[in-house]
Amino acid sequence: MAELWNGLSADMQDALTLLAILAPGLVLGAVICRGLRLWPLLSSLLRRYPWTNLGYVALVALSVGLGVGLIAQERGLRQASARVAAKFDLILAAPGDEIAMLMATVYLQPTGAPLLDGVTWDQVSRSAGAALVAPIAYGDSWQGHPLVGSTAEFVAHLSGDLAEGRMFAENWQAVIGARVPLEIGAHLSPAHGADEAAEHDAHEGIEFQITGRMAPTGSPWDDAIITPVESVWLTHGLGNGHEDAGSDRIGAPFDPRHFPGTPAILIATPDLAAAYGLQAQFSSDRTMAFFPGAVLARLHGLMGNLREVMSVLSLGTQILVAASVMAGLIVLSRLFARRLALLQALGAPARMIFALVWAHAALLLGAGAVLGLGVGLVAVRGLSAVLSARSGLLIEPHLGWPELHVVAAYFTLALLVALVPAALALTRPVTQELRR
Amino acid sequence: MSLSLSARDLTVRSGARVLLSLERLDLPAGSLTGIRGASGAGKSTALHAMAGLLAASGSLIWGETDLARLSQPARTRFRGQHMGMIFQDFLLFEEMTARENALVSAAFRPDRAALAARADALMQRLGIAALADRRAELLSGGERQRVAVARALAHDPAILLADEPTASLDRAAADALIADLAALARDEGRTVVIVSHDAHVWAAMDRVLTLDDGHLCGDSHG
Repeated sequence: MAELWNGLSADMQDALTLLAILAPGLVLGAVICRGLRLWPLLSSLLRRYPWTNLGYVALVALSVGLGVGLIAQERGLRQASARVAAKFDLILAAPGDEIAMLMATVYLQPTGAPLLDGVTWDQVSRSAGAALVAPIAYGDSWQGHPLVGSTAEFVAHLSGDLAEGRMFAENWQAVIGARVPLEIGAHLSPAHGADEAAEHDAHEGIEFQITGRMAPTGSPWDDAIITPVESVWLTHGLGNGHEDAGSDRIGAPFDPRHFPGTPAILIATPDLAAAYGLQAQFSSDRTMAFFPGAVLARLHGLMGNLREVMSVLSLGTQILVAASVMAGLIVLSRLFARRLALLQALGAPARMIFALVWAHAALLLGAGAVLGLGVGLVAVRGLSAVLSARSGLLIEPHLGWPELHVVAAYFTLALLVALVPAALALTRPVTQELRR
Repeated sequence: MSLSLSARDLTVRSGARVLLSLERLDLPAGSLTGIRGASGAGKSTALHAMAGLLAASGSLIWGETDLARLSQPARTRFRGQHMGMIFQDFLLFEEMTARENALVSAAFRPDRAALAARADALMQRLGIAALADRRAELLSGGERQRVAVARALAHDPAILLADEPTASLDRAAADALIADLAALARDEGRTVVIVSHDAHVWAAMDRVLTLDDGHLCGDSHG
C-alpha cells in the first residue's frame, strides 16, 4: 500500500488527500439527503432572507480567507527569500553575526562590518574549489538605492545577460537593477551611507555613468546600483586594489598587498563538496564562512514556529467564527421554524426537516469556503505587493494544495458541527409554530 | 379511499391542564364536518389532535388506525399518506411559484410524477393554472388559498383538515373557495373537517360541532 502511494505523483497524492478530507462530509451529505428533493426548498430558504444568508457566507469567507492567506503568504515569503539566497552559495565575512551579514549581503540591509583583508582575498581567490569569487562592497547609496562595488562576473552570476545596455568596462561606470529609475547614459553622484544616515555631500565630485540594466532578479538587487569595486575603493580614497595605483583596469585579480578590504566575499562553487570544503577552510578566528541557505533555514525554522503560533490563533479564530455561524444558523432555523412546522404538518418526515436545515447550513458554509479561497488570494496578493515593495523580494504567492486541504478540513468540520442546528430544529413544537 | 373517524375519551393535555376532552365522536367516511366555538374553545387543538400533531390519550381511530397509539414518526407518516391540511394564513413559500408550492411535498414523496400530474389537474380545476409560474407573493389571498388547496390535495389524501380557511379572504373569494372545497371533497369522497367561524362554511357542511372549553357542547346536522 505504501509503495502504491509513494508511486503516485505529488499532485495525485494531494488530490487524494483532499478527497479523503472531504469524504466524511460528502458521505454525510449523501446519507442525509438520500432520496430527498431539497433544492426548491433550499432555494426558497436562501431567497427568504438573502442578506442574512449572504452575511453568514461573508463571515465564513472572511474567516477562511484569513486562514488561507496566512499560510500562502508565509510560504510565498519563504520561497522568495530562498530563491534570492540560492545565488549566494557561500559568504565569507569577518567573524560576527551570520544573520546580520546575510541580511547585509544577500538582502542589502546595510550593517557595519569589519573588512576582510588582502591575505584572505588572496587565499580565497586561489582556492581550487571556487568557481567564482567576488567582493561585495556596500555602504554607499543613491536616493535610497544601495550602491555596491563588485565585479562584472558577479553581475553576470546574479542576473545573466543584461536586459539593456552593456556591462561596465571601466571605473565610474555602473550597471543598475531592474527597478532603479535611471536611463542608460544617465549620471549619478552617490551619497556616503544609506537611508537617514546618508551623507549626500561626502562624495562630491564623484559621478557614475549608467551603462546597462540587469534583468529582473526578483530580489533586493533589482534596486541596487553595481559598480566596479575599484570605484568604491577610489571613492573612499583607498586605492584601486591593484599593484599599479594609477591603473584604470578593473576586476580580479587584485593585489593582496594593495587590497583595501571588503565587508563580504561571495564564493560560488561547482558542487556541495567544494562548498563544504571551503566553509571548513575559512571558518576560523579571522574569518566566518557561512551558507546563506543554512542561515535562512534557521530563520525559516523560527518563522515556522511563528507560523504554528499564528496557525493556532487562526484556528482559534475560525472555531470562534464557526461557533458564531452555528449560533447564527440556529437563529436562522428559528426564522424558518414556521415553514419547517408546515412541512411537518404536510407529513414531511423528521429526516427531511433535518436534511433541509443541514443542507442549508452546508450550502452557506460551502459557499463561504469557496469564496474564502478567493478572499485569501486577494488578501495575500495585496499583502505581498506591500511586502515586495518594502523588502524588494518578489513574493509571488499562490493558493496550492495546502490551502485547499485546510479549507476542506474546515468545511468538513463545519459540516459535522452543522448537525447541531439540524437536530435542534426537530425539537420545536409543530403546533405552536403553526399557530404563531 | 375514504376514512371514517372514531374517537373515544380523546384527551389532550398541556401539563395538568386539559385542552381537549371528547368523550365520543364519530365522523362517517366522506362526511363534511365543521367545528365552531369561541376563541380558546379548543377548535384548533381538536383539529391538530385529529391530524396527529398533538399527542393524545384515549383513542383516535381513522379507518382502522388508532393515531393515539402511534409514535410521532408513525403519526407523521400516516398524515403524509392520508391527510391534507389547509391553514388560515395559507403558509405558502412566498418565493416559490404557485406550482412549486403545490408540489412542495415532492421534496419527500417518491411518487413525484403522479404528484405533479395531480397538482396540475387540481390547479386547472381550481382556476389557477394560468398562475402556475407566478410567485406566491404576487398572488391575491383567494389565489393563494387555492394554491394551498392544490398543495393539500396533490397527493390525493382521504382526509382534508382545514383551519379557518376563509378567515383571510373577502366574502366572494371565501364563498368560491367553500364551493370548490365542498365539490372537491364530495366528488372524491374525502372526509373533511373544517374549523371555522364562518357561517357560510357551516352551511356547506353535513354537520357542525360546537366546542366550548375543550368539550363538545353542540352537534347540528345540515
